[in-house]
Amino acid sequence: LRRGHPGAALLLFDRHADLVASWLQRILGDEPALASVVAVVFRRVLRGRAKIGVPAEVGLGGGPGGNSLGAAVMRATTTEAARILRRRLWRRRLGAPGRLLFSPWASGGGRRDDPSGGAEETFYRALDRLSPEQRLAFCLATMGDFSDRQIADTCGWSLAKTRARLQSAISVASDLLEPQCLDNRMTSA
Amino acid sequence: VPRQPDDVGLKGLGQRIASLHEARGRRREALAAARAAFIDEAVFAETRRFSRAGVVRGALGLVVLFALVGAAFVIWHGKRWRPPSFVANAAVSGQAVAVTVGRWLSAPEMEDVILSFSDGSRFTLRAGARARLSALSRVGGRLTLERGEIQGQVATKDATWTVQAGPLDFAFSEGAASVVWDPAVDRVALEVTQGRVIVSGACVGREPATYVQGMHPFFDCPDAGL
Repeated sequence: LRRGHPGAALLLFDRHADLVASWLQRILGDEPALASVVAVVFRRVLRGRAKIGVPAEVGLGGGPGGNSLGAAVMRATTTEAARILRRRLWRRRLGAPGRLLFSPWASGGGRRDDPSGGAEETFYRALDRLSPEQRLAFCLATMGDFSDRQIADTCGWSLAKTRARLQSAISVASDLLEPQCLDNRMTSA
Repeated sequence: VPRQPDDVGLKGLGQRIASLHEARGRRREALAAARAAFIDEAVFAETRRFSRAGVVRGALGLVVLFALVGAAFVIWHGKRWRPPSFVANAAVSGQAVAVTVGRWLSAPEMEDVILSFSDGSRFTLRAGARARLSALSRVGGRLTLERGEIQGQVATKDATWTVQAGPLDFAFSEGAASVVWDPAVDRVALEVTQGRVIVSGACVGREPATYVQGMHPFFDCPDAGL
């Protein structure tokens, strides 16, 4: 990969693309430009390939023990996701509808193929209330079971900053998602 | 005590949403498109001498550079730009007459002739005076007074107007003065009413003399040879 072999880059893509797309979907919700975002993530990884090689604890799949290449891919994924979220935020601030413009439930009434009974819509509407950094921390913690340290390593933040962002995200989201959490518990039970 | 996602059931909800994404399984097409884009933009770009994005960035940079150079030139040129030459008009008996370089103007015995220029400067030929517009440039002009009185008011200090009366030159900018030349007695009178006037010529010595507001000197030039 460091020598620029095209086959290595393709192998990297084929191994990790599915998980990258999965994490992007989890963090961003329905993103119409998912294909180009995935491609940008891998371009980021290729650009920073000279720095790959230091062992890291964070790996794809949401648990510890991943290799350093996987950690680099995950870092690129969160960086790109944060960029997309910031762009959405600026669009909203400038008056454009931002994410809701592309959202399948933008027209109201919920999506037709939502088996969660509206929980998914409510979930992502609540995430839209968080800052990009809070949203990243929240998604990694809830959807991937990342520890605070793993989130800090993945996003390149300090541990204190990570904890502060996660706590504020939990505080906001728990208020907004309390009925959905209760419903989910009852369904699971 | 810090709250954990598990405390309020957020982790369970998040994992359910994640599993919904997995169950939906719509990623195949997106991944195929992403792979094609990645191959085209990243993998093949390694073998290209100039990447497509690099060429676009370079072209944009050149456009911006040219625009900046153009804007700088326009600003610089705009500051230096002056009309190629002042336009002169004379009002004779209430009618405007275009005046060209070299033209003689004579004021009637009972009437003044006003000579106005496009920079706002005005020269008034008093009744009976006669003068010629001998030069016009970007920075002023020159009037040759043959006889009589000319009263001048120069509007801007960027222009210097010179009135030649006999052997003397009266240069004034942003000010007002009147010059009277009587060739019969070879005498020139100056009255500075505003600003200052620099006088040069045979009658004032080697160095030009400067006269300011309120001064009205006389110059006798018997050897004018006119």
